[in-house]
Amino acid sequence: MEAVREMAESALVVRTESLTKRYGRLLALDRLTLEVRAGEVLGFLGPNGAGKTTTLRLLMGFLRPTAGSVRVHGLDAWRDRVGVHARTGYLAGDVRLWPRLTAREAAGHLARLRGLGHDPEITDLAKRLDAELDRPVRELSRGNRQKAGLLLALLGEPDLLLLDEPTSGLDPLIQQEFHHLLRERVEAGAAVLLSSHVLSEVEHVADRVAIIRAGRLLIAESLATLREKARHTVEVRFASAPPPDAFAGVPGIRDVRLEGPVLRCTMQGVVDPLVKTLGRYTVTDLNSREADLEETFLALYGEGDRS
Amino acid sequence: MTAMIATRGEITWQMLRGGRRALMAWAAAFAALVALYAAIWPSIHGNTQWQDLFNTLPQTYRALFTAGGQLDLSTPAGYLGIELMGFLGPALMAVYAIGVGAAAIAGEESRGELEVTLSVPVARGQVLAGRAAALLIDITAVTVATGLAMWVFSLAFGMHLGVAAIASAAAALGIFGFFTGTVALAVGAATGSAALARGLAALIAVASYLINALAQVTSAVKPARPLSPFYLLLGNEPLQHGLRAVGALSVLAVALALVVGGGIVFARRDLA
Repeated sequence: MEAVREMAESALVVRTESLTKRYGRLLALDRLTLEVRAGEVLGFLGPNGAGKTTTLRLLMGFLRPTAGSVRVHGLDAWRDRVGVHARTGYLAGDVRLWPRLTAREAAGHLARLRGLGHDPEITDLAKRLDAELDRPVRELSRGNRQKAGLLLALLGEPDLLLLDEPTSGLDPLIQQEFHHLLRERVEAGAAVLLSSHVLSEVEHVADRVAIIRAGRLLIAESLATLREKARHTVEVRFASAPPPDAFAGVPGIRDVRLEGPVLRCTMQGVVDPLVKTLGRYTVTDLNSREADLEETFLALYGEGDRS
Repeated sequence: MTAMIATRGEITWQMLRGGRRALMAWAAAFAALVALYAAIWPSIHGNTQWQDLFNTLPQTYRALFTAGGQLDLSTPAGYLGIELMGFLGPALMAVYAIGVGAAAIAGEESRGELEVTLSVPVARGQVLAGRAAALLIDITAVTVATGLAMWVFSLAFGMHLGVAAIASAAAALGIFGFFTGTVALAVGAATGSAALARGLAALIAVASYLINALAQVTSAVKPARPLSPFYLLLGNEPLQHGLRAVGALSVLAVALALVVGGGIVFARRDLA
């Protein structure tokens, strides 16, 4: 039993507890409790200014927590930041590299600082991401600068990748290749925390998502669970019009619009209760579409906005 | 331990590489300045009118233009001591050193470039130490270039300055520059503000110059004179009287303390 618990603990690469960061009167992060395990990608979602960057910079030991604890690889991120950095790759949200150096030169410098010696993987990586290695960073486009930053973050195959909006400015093909790359790292046991303000950027690569708004964690759940909660827009055509209140009592049904032989409604969660009820009538056509997760979030947490 | 030295060396080397063009330009500028003064020497030599004019000026004015209050244009050391060591040399050295020192941490931080360096497993104090070493090497290079120029042009224009005198003068300039540079480096590391680093370092450089000058004419300022790095290094005119070891070592000790203090604050503050 003890061994099991220890294993579970050791698999926790990132663990924050009631992590709080205050700038004067501004509360940037409010009691955030978050975990990232080895072998998973956590998509860290929230609107701009929600506290995603603050969280990542706390994990890197760039900022001192006002309250709460932040442990990375079991180390205190503020006190043992050198130990954390030895096993962590970081990409800042607003990548700023030395303008006069090429990506290759910058990678060489960082590889020496990391004690890696010559780094053979950079050429392969650069090829996969279609990154420009031999022009000074100041001459690069925003997308190419982003790729250069990614290369530097991936240097030395760290156990943990903290990536702040990594795919912003990348074209979709490169984005896909980058996601493959992340999956490879994760299958090899790495942990990834990937922030974004757009769900579609993390939907295809994340195992779990955590959503933050105004410094507070709203939810941390697996994508599968979220999908179960996703809404479905359902349209049904009947052979003859059912009675007006035929679907009123179906659990999870919303926005029912029955116009003659056509039913349009939204199902919250699984559609099974509706399907069971539909069995009583003759259905000529059935169309069900899963709302994307963005709509799901709006549905789940949008109400909180107005209160 | 060796790994630590290797990473610090890499930090130092990286900063030196980035600043090599500026270093060469400043070294050349100092050499050119020395050459210019040396080239004028033959026409000043034996001319007593400047000396007579100077003697008629108020003492305050004389104090501002000479580190020690004395004007001696009859000897090469006295002449170059006034022209180069009294104001322009230390001022230019401070401008260069403050620029390098403020850029080293705070400059990079304000441009957002520092995070990349600080995301690798190197302690912030090590980064600061490596960059302080680069500042020292930069200043040493400009100092050596200035000293070499003094030696070459003193020979060329018949000034016959002694090697020891030249070394003392160049070292005094260099240590003054290094001190002002470490103020900028330490303030920048402690606060993250390059503007504050430059401003405060310039203020301290100017104050140390003014304290030395005014102490010669105002008894109220006199007790503060031994606190002035300008006085400690340049007040006794090192080209004529050599470098005062105690003064030079105290200024170097303060510079070192500034780097250590800056490093302590740097390690404990939020990055911008």
